[in-house]
Amino acid sequence: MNFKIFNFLKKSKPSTGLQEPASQVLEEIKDLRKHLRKQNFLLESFKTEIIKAIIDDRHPGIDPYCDVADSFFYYEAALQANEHVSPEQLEALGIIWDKIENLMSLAGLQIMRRAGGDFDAKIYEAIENRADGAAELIVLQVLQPGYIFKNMVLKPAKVVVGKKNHHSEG
Amino acid sequence: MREIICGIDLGTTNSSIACLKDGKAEALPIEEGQALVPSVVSLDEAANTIIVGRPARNRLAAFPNHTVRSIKRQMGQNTPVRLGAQQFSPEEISSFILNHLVNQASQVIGHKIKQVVITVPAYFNDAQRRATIQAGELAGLEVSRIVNEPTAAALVYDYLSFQQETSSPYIMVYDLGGGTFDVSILEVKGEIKEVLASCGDTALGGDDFDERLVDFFREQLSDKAPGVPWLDTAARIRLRDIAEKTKIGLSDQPFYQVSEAAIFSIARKPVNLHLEIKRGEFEELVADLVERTAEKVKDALQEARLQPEDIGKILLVGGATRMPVVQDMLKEMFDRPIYHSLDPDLCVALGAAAQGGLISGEPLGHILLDVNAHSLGIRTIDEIDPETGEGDWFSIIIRRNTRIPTRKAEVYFTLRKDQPAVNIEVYQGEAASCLENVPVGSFDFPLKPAPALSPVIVDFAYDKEGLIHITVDQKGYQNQKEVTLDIRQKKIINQEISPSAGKVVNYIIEKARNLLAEARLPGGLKNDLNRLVEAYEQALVGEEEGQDIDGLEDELLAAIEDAEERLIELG
Repeated sequence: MNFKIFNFLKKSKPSTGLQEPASQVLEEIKDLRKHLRKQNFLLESFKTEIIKAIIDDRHPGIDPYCDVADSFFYYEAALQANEHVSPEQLEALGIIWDKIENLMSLAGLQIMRRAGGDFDAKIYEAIENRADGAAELIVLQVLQPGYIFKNMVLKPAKVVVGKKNHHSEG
Repeated sequence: MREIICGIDLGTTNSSIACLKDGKAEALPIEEGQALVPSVVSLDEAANTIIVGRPARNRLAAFPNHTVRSIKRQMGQNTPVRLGAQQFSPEEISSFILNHLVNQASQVIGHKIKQVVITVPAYFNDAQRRATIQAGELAGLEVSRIVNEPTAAALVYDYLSFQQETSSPYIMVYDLGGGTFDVSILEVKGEIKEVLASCGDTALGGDDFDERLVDFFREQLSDKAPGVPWLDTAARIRLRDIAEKTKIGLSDQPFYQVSEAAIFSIARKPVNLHLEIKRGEFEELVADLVERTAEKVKDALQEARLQPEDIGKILLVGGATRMPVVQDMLKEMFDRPIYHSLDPDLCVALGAAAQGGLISGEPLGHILLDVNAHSLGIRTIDEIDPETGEGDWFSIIIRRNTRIPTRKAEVYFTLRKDQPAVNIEVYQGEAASCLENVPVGSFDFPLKPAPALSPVIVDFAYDKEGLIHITVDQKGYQNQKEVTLDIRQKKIINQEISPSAGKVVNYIIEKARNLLAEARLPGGLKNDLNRLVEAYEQALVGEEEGQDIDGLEDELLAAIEDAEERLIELG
């Protein structure tokens, strides 16, 4: 399996000047709907591959799962960096994440992608500390997702850490 | 019961522990199923505990004043190391690593470990060696022996089941790790292996090769987003990971496809890294690094007062020696067997375990590895046989002594415009001329019309049953052929044009094809869908210029939706 989940992004059309806010939102929803539909096709084909692998009694490789999840994580991060992410877009992202995580759990995989929890050096690798000297740290930002496979840390999530009260500032 | 003596490779970046099982050295997977443990120590002041390995490495940036790495560089010095409010000697820090390795290993083997053999670099002086022994003692261990790292590597290779005899007593150990490079020349005198020369560069390793790729990717991204100060921490660490993945990919394949979404974003648009890098391009980027190691090899030969032809065999140690460019350089410099079948990250610990077995009097068995005894490759025309006027160059794809199963590929180029076919002639042997090697089988691969010098990738997957599954791919033309050759019987047992040849693998098309297979779908919808699938497929492979892929994709997605809705209506 070799999925290139976001090939379509590079072909996105350039903006054609200023638009009315309402039509801009409609355009965004239309685009998002298209992406969501494509995403669903991809997940369907992904599911077919998994079932095939199970039937064939072969252990499916876990790298493609992580690859898909990584790609979506970075795409989401790029979207979130925008100032104008609508609640509908956020909801759609959440729906896709649920699907990806469900799929991964079938293969015994768990992704660590959320900020806000206590910093645990067993599953997180700190890349930056914004509260030098603090004894208790929390995860302020996940820079790279991490993966746990059947209770074994395959890859720690790379994170920015800080004090608990630092979170609201960041 | 005989006392177990484990072998420990106490490395600068990573450490590992191995012991004998049924007389054979085995590295122990002690941390998250892995044998390599980062040589990092951290103090958790709140819990008053010492943390070693991956969790300690993960704390480096979070608690930099409580964490230390590369302590090996400070061994033998009297400089104390401060972790939080406490001070430790380098020996104490090393003892924490040793203690961790031994405790975890004891749990794995179910037996308490009291004695160890520890390896050190050949260049370590007496003070550094004494400090290493002291570290072992502080960990409550009896250090049975300190062994030079290259000696340990050479020792374990003595116990491989397939040894090619050599009359020369000289062995060269080329050790390219993550952050350091060492080259040593040993002389075998009976049971003793004496280090004649040792040279190195403490600031050169596999990480430098990764950095070259990081720079290359940065340039590619700068072209897409000129003048943007995009290289934040997240992008930097991500590029480093991509670089490492690319380097590993290029060790087995002549091309590597980098497809990474949203490295960063500018003006609400993600900037993606989507490119193909050739092994040759990577090798150009790192040529000077390889040359620096070659210079050290020459220095070591000079120090040992030897010529390249005096060396009997060459052993590869350190993960970065998996790069073909390193092996090619050594092959060019020395026309000698290169041993690389043992895991280069672990062979020093394995050698230390073998030394432990020799000390405790445990009978040592041969390490059985499935390797290919002869190099495998194909005939090319890089050299011409003067008698027949035909091409006669043996181009190696899988080197001898490679652990199998393995998969390697090389890229070749056509000679002429619209060349109708290429003949793939497979040989095994070591001579540069195919006439002096053994033919294994041959077959024709028909080509689609293409310009001269078009790339054709030949991929060998060699399994333990002695079969080579060969895939030949006319790159960019959806033209593949798969052939299976039986090496032992020297004959082709299966050949077929790949079922995917000529078809575009795309999940949207796949979805549409599934719908087209539905008997309930009305003829009109089916025809529309079929027409769009064909047009979209042709647009993707670029068979017709000026096609609007996005427009076709929109149309196809709408047609799929119509078909799905119709099927729901039909029930």
